[in-house]
Amino acid sequence: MSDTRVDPVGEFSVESLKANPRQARKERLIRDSLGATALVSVLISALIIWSLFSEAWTFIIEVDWGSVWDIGWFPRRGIYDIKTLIVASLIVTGIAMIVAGPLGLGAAIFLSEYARPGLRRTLKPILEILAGIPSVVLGFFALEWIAPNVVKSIFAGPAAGSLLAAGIGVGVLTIPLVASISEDAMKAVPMALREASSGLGARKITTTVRVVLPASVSGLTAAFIVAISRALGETMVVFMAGGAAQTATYTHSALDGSLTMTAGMASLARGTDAVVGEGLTFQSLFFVGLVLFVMTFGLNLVADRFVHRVREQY
Amino acid sequence: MAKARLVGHRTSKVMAQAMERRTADVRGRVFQMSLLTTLLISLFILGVLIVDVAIDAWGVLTGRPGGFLSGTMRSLSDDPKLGVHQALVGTFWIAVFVAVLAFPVGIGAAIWLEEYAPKNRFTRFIELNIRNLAGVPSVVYGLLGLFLFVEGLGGITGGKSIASAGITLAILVLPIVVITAQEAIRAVPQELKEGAYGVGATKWTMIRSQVLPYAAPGVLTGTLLSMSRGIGEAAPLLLVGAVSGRLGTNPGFFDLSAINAEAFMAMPVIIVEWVQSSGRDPGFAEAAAAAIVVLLVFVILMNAAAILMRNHFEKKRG
Amino acid sequence: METVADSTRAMLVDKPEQDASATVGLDIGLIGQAASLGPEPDSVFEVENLDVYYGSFRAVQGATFTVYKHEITAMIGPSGCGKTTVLRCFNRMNDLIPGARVEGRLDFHSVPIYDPRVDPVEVRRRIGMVFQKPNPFPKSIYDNIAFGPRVTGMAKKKGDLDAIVEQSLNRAALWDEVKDRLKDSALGLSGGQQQRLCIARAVAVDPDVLLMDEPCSALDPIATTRIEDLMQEIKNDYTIVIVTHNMQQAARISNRTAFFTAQIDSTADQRCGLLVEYDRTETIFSNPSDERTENYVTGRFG
Repeated sequence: MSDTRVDPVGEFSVESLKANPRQARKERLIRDSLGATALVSVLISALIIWSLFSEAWTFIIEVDWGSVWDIGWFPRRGIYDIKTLIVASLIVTGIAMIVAGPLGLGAAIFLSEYARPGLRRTLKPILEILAGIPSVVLGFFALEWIAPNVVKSIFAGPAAGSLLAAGIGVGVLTIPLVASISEDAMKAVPMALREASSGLGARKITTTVRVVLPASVSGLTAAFIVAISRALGETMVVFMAGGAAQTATYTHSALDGSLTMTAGMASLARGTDAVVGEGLTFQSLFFVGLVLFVMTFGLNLVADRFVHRVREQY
Repeated sequence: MAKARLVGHRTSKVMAQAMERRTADVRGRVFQMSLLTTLLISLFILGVLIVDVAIDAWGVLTGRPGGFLSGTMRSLSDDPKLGVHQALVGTFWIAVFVAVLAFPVGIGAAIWLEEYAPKNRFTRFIELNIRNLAGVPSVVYGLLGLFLFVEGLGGITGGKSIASAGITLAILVLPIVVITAQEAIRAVPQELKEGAYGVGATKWTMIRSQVLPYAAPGVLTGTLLSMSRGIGEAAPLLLVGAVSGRLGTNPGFFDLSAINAEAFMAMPVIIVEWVQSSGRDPGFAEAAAAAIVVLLVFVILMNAAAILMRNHFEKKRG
Repeated sequence: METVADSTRAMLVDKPEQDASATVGLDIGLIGQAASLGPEPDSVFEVENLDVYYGSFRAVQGATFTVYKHEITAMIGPSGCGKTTVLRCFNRMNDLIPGARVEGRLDFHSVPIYDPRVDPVEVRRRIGMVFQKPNPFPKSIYDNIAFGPRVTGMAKKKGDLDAIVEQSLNRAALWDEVKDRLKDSALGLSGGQQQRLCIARAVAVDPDVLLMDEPCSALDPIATTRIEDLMQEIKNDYTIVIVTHNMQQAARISNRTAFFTAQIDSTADQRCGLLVEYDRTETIFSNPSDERTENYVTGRFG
């Protein structure tokens, strides 16, 4: 049996160890096809940038720049005050972070440091369900429940849509995001650090606040930046509960209704004929999209840096 | 003897006091309770949300559940033929596009990145690129769809059609599919791969026989999560032109001609539509709530299945 | 001090018949000339000036030795000495590590296996491997054994496959224990059974050589003994190269032993594996020519 396998005399040569050409061809074909699928993502990025720039460029060249710094967002009348949209976006994002920051971080600390495994197994999936709820549902909730029950009752604002109602809605939407990234960051802190702290007689609260949180600060920063980026880009909640349709006058009050960058785009695109409107309406859509893309892209890159710092540390 | 003198009467008393004080760690207690409170607030919000939607939807769903599922868009909320059939058909086809386009491409890219890609700058660039794509706001994908599929390739896609919407959403969830599949593939133990190579398996044989079966639950979890994200996403659909107002046609589920017809509806968009109509006709708020329940049933089932499956396999593999 | 070498020598004396075939016509006293006396068996691997790099790090430097047919060749040495690295060169398993590079000559039956025309997959079909940790596939016992024949296209028919499975499990002395539960998951076997399953899986593709990377390090003494007995039984059919950190094991089972050590590479200030001495096992353990070998086998170092 053994001697017939490899005949050292004459017949066994480099040829015997050559790849079967058919098989080699098949392997190469599979490798190249899989590589092509990976390149699709690059193609998509290129297409996004191309589509944003080509239309936004027309807008940048042709627009009367006086109309880009004006009294409000009235695209159909040729008034494209971008600061109305940006300020509204910042207000909504700020409110969202006030809601999601403490709630998400608190939930993360509890799950990572305090919850017993059994409790954690029950609580975590519920938080994940919350993460999976579509934003239209949060939009409905913000308009139908948060606006009358929170904005009107507590802040004496309008019972209909407002930036505050939308901001709280976006905040609820980003709680699971903050919680899960923060929890990952804290879980990445080595057990030895906690044990060292406890070994010195520190209480749990001291260990958590003085050891775990500082050690995971990169990850926590990443969580907040990602959440800010997500809140800036959230569309449906602000579109449904932001309290403005089609147009908005400049405001910096959270109790007013206004349009964020995203809601401005959604309302402009609403309907079959709206997108191709007068003058630069269509192009203004891409201009706002470009501004939003640049902002979120920058935030994501920074967050990515912080996440990588966590990985390098531990 | 010396010890006894060192820990004298006074010292032991101090120590006993110190050890008893542990129960009186008020600050720690308050801290822990406030952490738990933050978590409970989130859960409370989820509870209120579900109850609020359920109450609003109750009348419609208990009154005429079948009629609501088979009905179409109407201009009055008390029209007995009001329903979500067109939206269900649209969402069904979007799901098909996501499954057919995003899953194979995303899983293929994940396999390449984890098993084939050389460790160089180009690979790192692709990975960074995918992470960034995952963070691009969904409305921007809508702009891409509008520019490319509605305007640019309108001749093929039919313009503001279900095909444009489906491709756009497939692109939107692609990075999620890639990232989750990569994580699942990365978890395959090196020993299994070496075992397969050791008996003369080629790379692809090894991947097909060891990597894919082992990673399958994780990959499936990722596809379920991205599918539920895909069918719940509304913003890009507004941009690629989901119809507003009434949709005249009502194609069946397997009516292929509807794919590139110049009009479509989808579950998340019908919710927006009805919420907006509730301004002039308050009854639409209830219809919207009922549509939300229908959408949530799909989304939560998919999410729950994904989470349960992941937890099951995590536990099984320790 | 009762040294390892002493007990080893005692063991070698205990079982003279085991090594009889290899030591025929040899006078154990004639150290150093032993290899040139009697007829040399055919060589399987010829290694000459083998350097292995991981990126810019040189893991092994200038190894030169020959592995002979139907012998058990052991590679011993302290951790980090490159013995596993060398073993993984024999079936080009190091190709899987990004940046790994091999220089020098490594011939398998006179064929340079690092020739660009050679397909590593073909090499691995002829040179099987058993790993440090038992690594059965999460499949049934039957499918574990059948995996190799299936992927290499050896057996097309169900009957052939059944025969190969039974034969391989028999060779690995596992058939009687598992013949009634071939469809059960391999993960339900004990550690020792799993490792014998992995040996059966390796022999199922009918290889010429079996490489074993510390196959007993994760096993208890009883399971270890069974594996060692098994190796003695199958060495008439296979050439076996084994890496072990257990000197007694090398002394008990192997015909030849290569002693590796790690030394500081002065040019790069890194540790680098080095083959110190290669000879018949009894020579290495009873009368090594290098002081470092002697220190190691007598337990003064490592």
